[in-house]
Amino acid sequence: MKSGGTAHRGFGYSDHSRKQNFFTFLSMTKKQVIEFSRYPISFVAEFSQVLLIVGMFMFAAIIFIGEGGAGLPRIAGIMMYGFVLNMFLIFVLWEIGFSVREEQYRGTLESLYLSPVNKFSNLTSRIFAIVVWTVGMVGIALVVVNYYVGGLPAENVLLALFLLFFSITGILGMGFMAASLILRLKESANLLLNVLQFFFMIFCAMFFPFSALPPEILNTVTRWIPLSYGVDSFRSVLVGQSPELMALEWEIVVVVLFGILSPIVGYYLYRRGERKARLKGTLGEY
Amino acid sequence: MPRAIIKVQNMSKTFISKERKKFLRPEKREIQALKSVDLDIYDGEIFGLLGPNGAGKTTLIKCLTTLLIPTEGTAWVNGFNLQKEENLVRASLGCMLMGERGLYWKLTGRENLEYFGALYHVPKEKRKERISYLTDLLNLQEFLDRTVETYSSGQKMIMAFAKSLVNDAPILFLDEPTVTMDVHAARELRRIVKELNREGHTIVYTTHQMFEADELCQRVAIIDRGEIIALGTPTQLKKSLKIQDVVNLEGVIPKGVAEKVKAIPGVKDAVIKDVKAGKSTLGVMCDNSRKLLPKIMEVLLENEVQIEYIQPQDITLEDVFIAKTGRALSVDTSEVPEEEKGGAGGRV
Repeated sequence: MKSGGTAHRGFGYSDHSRKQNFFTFLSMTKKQVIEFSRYPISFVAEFSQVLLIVGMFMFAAIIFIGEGGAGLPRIAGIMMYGFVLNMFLIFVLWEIGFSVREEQYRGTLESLYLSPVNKFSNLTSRIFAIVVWTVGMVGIALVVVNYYVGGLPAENVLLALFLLFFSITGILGMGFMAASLILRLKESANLLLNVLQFFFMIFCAMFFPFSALPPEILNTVTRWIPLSYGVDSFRSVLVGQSPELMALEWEIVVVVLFGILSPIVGYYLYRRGERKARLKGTLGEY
Repeated sequence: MPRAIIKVQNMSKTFISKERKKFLRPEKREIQALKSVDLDIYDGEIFGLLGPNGAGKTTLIKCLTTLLIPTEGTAWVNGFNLQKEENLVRASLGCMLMGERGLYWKLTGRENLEYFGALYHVPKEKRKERISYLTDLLNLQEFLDRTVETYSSGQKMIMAFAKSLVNDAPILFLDEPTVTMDVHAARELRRIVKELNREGHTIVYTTHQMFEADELCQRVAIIDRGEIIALGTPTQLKKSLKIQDVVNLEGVIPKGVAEKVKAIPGVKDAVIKDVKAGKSTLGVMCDNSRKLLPKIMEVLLENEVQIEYIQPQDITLEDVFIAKTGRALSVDTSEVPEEEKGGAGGRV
């Protein structure tokens, strides 16, 4: 028997239309923003941190090139455009990592799993709010640096935005994978995320040219990380130089594939992690 | 015969626990939390799940609400299969499982209700209406717009209860909802549970407090070590004991006395129900307590037992549990005020 012979009494006030699913997504994003606003010190600290990091790299660049040096805007561009992707990566990984773990710890993750809300939609709502916030922060950082170095190079902005979009969706997939790890590793995952953050920062050459990496590392590690191509192509099209890893058209293909496949693989891994947690009963473990 | 709205078929759940011994590799141990449970919960009833800590109540509820995946077996909830139609099962339920842990502490009560209403896909206008209705029903006005972190434990529990009602689901799972509530708030909650049931909601209610189950539930299942050991209406279960009386004796009772009392002809069972601050409560089940009391006292005095309190009482569901398992439930029901229990007793 299809219903197991049990009675059906409807769903109360629930409306399962697509339109309502969209409004649910908006409500989840709104809740993220409200929660974020309840931590004003963290809000100010994160913002100051971004400007301090930018300042640190800019002053380091000035030491080597000299203030008003001809190569300063180009070096500043290489650093800042890598910094943009680094910011998205860090915020997505930490936001997903922290928020999933914190909800697991508090017990609200179980509340979430009791509801019929789409879990993909829930994960993306967490990231959506933080991506919007990151866009604001990096925007301001770019304006500050642009003013300081007397104009950052900005050659092909449209293509750069196209590449940035797919790099961000690819990073989103990495966030899903991080969430899966969090469900499995709990506290230890935070340490792992910390290491991963520096791993990508160095091996994807986010703050320096790829040529600075030893060829052994470049060929055995860097070239195998799809995000490296995101950093290389995004930076190259803005600074107006040839990409360092491969021809631009091939880098575009890799970035687009990364942007499409990473969320699919990441979400699949998250669902597997979630199923394991539901089998072991660790969804609400703290 | 009433129609089931929840049907559990041969459900088992096994957990693997790892036991670490110093630096050695952890040893794996299987814990069977549910053993082939078969159960029908009827449409429109208040169904009680009773049992001590670790009996399997929460595991069963977590399986039925999709938080856990059963190792074997299946269930149907509101016409949907537990494993194949998870989201439709979830949409059919209102749950209060983790009490205050299920709320966002940095959000106000209203924001929590708004958010959870959205998670259940309740449209915005309906959500507003519903929150307004729940505010009046549960007297939330005083703290609705404060962040949850400022609430007392009782207020958090009431808000968690409101959260479970926000989607007006046909089936409600309430896991020990009155824990941490004061007597008045607990009584009020039970009144609302009855009201919701009259409106047609099916309610699955777990509790340690036997008088709560007696007062609320049309049928109860007593669960112990992952198995349902008794199922029926409270009256049927109590009648199934085939005894007339229970006498509770409180005092300093040395070990082994319960066995000696049990050996008195006419005594069906004698179990230490509770131990607190060096004092124990001995529950004696028999057919005629008035006739047997002198004999019981004689045995107690022979064993130098200091009795401070004798309380004859009607048979409770806890006595059913004792009779079925030979053990007492750990919760101290004697802490419940007399007006709540409706019992009688006197000091000696």
